[in-house]
Amino acid sequence: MLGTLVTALSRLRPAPPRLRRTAPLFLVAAIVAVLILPAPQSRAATPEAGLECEVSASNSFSLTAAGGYISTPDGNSIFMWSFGNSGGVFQLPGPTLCVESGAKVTVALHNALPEPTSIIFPGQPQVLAGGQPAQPENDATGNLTSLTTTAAPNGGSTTYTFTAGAPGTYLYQSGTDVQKQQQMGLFGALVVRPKGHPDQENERADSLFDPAREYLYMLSEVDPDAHLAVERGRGYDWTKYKARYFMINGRSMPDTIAPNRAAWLPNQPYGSLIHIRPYDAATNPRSALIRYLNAGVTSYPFHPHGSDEQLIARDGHPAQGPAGQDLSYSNFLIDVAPGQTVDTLMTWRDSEHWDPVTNPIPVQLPQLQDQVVGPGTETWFSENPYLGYTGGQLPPGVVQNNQCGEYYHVAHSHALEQSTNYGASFGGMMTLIRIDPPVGCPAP
Amino acid sequence: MNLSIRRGPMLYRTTVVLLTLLFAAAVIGRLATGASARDPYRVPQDGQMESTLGVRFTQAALVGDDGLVEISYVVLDTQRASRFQNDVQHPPVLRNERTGKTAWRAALMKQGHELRPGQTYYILYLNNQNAIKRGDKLEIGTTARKLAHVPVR
Repeated sequence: MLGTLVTALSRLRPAPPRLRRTAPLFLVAAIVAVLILPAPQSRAATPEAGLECEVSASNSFSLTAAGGYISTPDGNSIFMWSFGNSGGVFQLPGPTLCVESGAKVTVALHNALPEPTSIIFPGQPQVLAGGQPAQPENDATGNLTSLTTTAAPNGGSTTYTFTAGAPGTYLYQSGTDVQKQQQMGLFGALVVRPKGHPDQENERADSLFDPAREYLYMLSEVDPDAHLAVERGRGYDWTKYKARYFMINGRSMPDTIAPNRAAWLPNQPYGSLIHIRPYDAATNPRSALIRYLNAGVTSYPFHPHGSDEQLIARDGHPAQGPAGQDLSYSNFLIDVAPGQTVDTLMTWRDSEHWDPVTNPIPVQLPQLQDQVVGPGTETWFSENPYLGYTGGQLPPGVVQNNQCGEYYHVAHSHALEQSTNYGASFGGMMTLIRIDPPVGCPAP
Repeated sequence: MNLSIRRGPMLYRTTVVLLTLLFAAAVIGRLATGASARDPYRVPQDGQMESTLGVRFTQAALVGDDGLVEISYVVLDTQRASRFQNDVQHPPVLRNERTGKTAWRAALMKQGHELRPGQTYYILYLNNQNAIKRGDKLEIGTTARKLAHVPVR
């Protein structure tokens, strides 16, 4: 084959000498560029757990609204609409766009759906569409059809531009036929970072967090009957709306604790496992940051077991008084309202310092069947109550049963129907908080 | 790199063709790193086991940053599957075929008695001392039979 190509080339008219000298160099440079250069719009290296940002040196993003399928842990497949990176695969939710406060942001929307759609950016002032102020749209009879300028169906596009507002967490979502299109999955997150302080949630110094421990929880729900109706081009009686699946980042438990970009979830790239270590003033002084967003139509009373969280901002506004006084507060329950965003800092402290020698805790071994079927204090029991303890004397017949003596805490919606997969527990809006020993967990 | 001058036109053309092919391979390789390029995942099936237990195992995966092993199964026969699920004294044991290590402590599995045929359920195991690693193959041992060569993803 190579010989054929060479022979064919030899019949062509010779290239000019200058081109003959530079062509090989150009090809080598092109190969190197393909291998090492990132795309103009790219995401940071994918962590196995934690926030995955879509970034752009020019703060320009290109999104395509399209249909595709997601899977649920009970084996169902659901037709969704979502915003995905143009030229990329379908994904739910839309990519998390990360920009700096004050940046000029451009979002080009391409519409592959059979009806008009749009993007609204709550919390971002003076959004332009096609260079003009974004405007609501009405039909011929004057009824409002869209909260903002749309992209025409089947290939239309429009470009939104705005200056990123105050640091914080924001939704971006469809502003057109909102009840239907948001339920179908047309939403994503916009993270605005304080300029020059990527390790702070906002301009306040006390919003400092560990950038390696940043998490985002996009909470949503799905009524599969509504989605089936849209897939088949039928109408749907929204008074019959009944959500059956409840999701964090487009996944339900146990998919929530699968890695980011797990092979078996090709259209649901974002996991929601929190993976941290105990607070230590010298070796682990910074908190984890968790960004909650509600893209659904009801409140999701989210409760992390084992540690309350410090609410530091809501809807892009820091929890502070008029004089800048700190008004953040500790929360047992992060009750995120529809359309709202809540940011919390989480610090897990080993308060009791249980130790098998100096501070033992009596442990009654539960029956095996209790451990299997739960729920109760025995769920997640690992045979050893001591964080990071994998050796030493254990009760007769008992061995260490987890990776490195780590703890697991459940975090889930306290509206327990929302912690099911179509009624089957455990599932839905549930994930885990994994706490490793202070020295970390050695690589296997 | 001035091949046309030193070594003649044939070497030059061959080099250009090779570099062009390399360029094409680099582009294809870059594009192929997406989700669509992954290998198909298959779990062996055992009709006798499925007939006895009323379930078909469909996946073994490491989750929880490798601290947990997820075993998924689809219910084929509600009555038999109920017996399988409620035999809490004998949850399946996962044996790593490469190392012989086992994961046997179930951390979480379905509650309640309602099992729907065709629906997928799961059991989470504690991955004790890294018994199971991604890319390994498992033997899922039940009271009825053993299902070998289940790949871990």
